[in-house]
Amino acid sequence: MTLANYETYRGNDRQTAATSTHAMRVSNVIRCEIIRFSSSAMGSKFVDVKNAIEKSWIDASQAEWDGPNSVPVSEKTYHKALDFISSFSLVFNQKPSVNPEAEGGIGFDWENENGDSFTVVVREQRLVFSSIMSNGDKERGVVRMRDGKLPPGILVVLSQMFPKR
Amino acid sequence: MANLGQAARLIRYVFQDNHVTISTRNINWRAFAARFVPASSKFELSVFDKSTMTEIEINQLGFEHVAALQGRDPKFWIELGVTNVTTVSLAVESEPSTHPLHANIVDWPVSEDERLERAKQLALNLKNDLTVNINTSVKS
Repeated sequence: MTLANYETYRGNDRQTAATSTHAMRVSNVIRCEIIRFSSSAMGSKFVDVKNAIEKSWIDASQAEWDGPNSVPVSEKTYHKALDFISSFSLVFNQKPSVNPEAEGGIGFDWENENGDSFTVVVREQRLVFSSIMSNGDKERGVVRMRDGKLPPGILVVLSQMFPKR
Repeated sequence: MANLGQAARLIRYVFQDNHVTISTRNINWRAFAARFVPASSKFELSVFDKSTMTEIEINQLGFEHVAALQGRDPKFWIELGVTNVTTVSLAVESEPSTHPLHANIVDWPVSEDERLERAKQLALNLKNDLTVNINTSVKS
């Protein structure tokens, strides 16, 4: 083995070790959250949403996961996204689709049969939201998530999109 | 940097499977989420001026130049007009440092909720615009 090859080998080894440490950390954190949420009120109703949040974090927790300058999803964002959906599931039945986004958030999207669309992005303690209604009405904002409670503005938009029958 | 003319057509390469649903022409707003670029200290979204490129050349550009920069192959490309971009109060600026046809969608708002709204509005407008072409990149 030449010195150059040896350095490459050592470099790859270090990279593999870093990747596997990261994977182990992600897996341990997820295991703790499974225990927390299996005993919470959310129960099995939103289990697929919870799984999608986990997948978002796993897929997007490394730097540049979506190309240059994309921001990784932090562990704090992952926990806050679970808190958000846990609070949400106590009030609403409509399940969102869940995916990470390039600014480091986990985004929740709802769309109703009229084509109204509502998005909430959890970025650490901030909730960034935007609704675009089929009649042209729009609403957007940034709020801090406090004690896991849903901000009233978000509840109002979702109540309009999905009125109780 | 010069702005591209209103008649110009653009190509946006998409790398995530779930950002486009071809059957419903649904484009997820995440495909148009701008990124903060430290070198320019502003939010940008990378596109290419379609110019006179054929489909084969667009695929070639995606799988050779863009894939090398991104470290992975594109899954789709979306052809849109500069007017689609300017309608939502954004602009397209030529940025040929890495490729002569490279450009950026710029003028993204500073506030994060406004950026989210612009990306959503752009994706929504494209869904209803029949001149927008969505293609699966096929390696030739």
